[in-house]
Amino acid sequence: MEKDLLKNRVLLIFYFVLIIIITSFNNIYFLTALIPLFILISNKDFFKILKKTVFSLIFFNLIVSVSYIIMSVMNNKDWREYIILINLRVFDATFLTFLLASKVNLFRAVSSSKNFSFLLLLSYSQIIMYKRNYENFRYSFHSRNLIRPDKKQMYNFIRSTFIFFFNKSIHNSKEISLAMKSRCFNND
Amino acid sequence: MINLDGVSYYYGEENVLSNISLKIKENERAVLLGSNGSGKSTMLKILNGLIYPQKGKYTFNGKGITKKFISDKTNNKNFRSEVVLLFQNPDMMIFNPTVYDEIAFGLKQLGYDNIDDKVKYWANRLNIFNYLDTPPYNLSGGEKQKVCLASILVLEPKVLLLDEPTAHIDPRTTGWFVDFFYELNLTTIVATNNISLAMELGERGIVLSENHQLIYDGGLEQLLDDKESLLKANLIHKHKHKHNGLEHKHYHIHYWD
Ligand SMILES: Nc1ncnc2c1ncn2[C@@H]1O[C@H](COP(=O)(O)OP(=O)(O)O)[C@@H](O)[C@H]1O
Ligand SMILES: [Mg+2]
Repeated sequence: MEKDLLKNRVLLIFYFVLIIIITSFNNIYFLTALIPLFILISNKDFFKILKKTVFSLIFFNLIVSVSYIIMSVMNNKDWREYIILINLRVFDATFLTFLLASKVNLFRAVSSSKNFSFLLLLSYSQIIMYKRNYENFRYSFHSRNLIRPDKKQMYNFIRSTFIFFFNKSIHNSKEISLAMKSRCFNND
Repeated sequence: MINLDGVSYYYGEENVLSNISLKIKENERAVLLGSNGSGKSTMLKILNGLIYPQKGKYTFNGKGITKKFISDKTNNKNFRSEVVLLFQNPDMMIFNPTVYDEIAFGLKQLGYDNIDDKVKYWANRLNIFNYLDTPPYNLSGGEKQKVCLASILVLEPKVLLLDEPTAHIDPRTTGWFVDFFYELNLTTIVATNNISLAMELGERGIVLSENHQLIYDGGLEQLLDDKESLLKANLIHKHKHKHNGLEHKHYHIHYWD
């Protein structure tokens, strides 16, 4: 029991360190090299986790990628490297999160470390919130776009979606931390 | 019990509450009215000690609720168990793996005894006993709202602050909620922009105008006759209808909830 807890903690710390590295390194080779490692660790769960990962990020990545490509083309810039980088990075981070969730009962592992659970709860809630928002946006996009949108409409839609997600995520994080404070969460 | 004295609040440069003064006594049931963006949520957050006014003073039972006061652990615990807030969006309050854990959360934070009994009692009262093992994310809006209510009422607070409690629930659950609310014996402040619902939720009306000032504080019944204040607060509007070919001028109530 005790040993299990320790193992979970170590995994969790490892996870956070990796997430920080993934989100701050701009090296395509490094991000690619992580994938065989994931295959190795996830073993027979690989395809299950892969499916989850792809489903949860395809819409977001598509929007970000397409909007970036359009902006780059408009400004005559090369977009390939950035697109590969951002997609790889989001993929790695998401895959790693699901991988961890499959190995560890996240909430149990952090139950006595308040700072940690604070961080974790925040990101966990964020993931769920994002999933919801993707779904809503996908529906609204489909329902409002029976006719193929022209370039400018597309660009505006992508831009406003992007800004929406950005503001929403900042607002939500603030609101969630207030709600936690309100419910006596001591993050000190 | 609650005393706001010349309170103003700013988000950056933007003024969202302007020189608000009011007192609320124990067991009073007040309804905070105002259109979207008038500052209701901000006011409730101040009353819950989550944000602090840049101008003016908020005192609760004679104690000034300031950053310094709240940063004291004992003060924080006492205050958080006495004054609770139901957020406008229940999703913001939910972060535990099961409904049971969600309800028990505050009790654990405060180090209470008999957690199990209390959780079960409130789950029962709110008709969510069957969901105790369910992840709250998967519930409907109305059920989520009940989980959130249970998770704050379980602390047996003295003051209950509710931010648009019917905004995310269906009409049947709204009916249930009004009945449930009626049986609570607490000091309550409910924010809403639905004046037809307001009558069911309290006796005193407090109205914020669109420029964030307090423009009415008094009986709710009298407020309904005070068309000028209601118009000013954008809680009703005037427009023309045609009935059987005849043109009428009406005051019109919004149902945004
Ligand atoms: N965290 C925030 N940062 C900046 N502005 C905010 C924030 N929260 C609310 N506001 C702004 O303050 C004003 C009042 O908001 P709010 O108190 O939520 O009003 P209400 O609850 O009556 O709809 C609105 O114009 C809103 O956009
Ligand atoms: Mg509000």
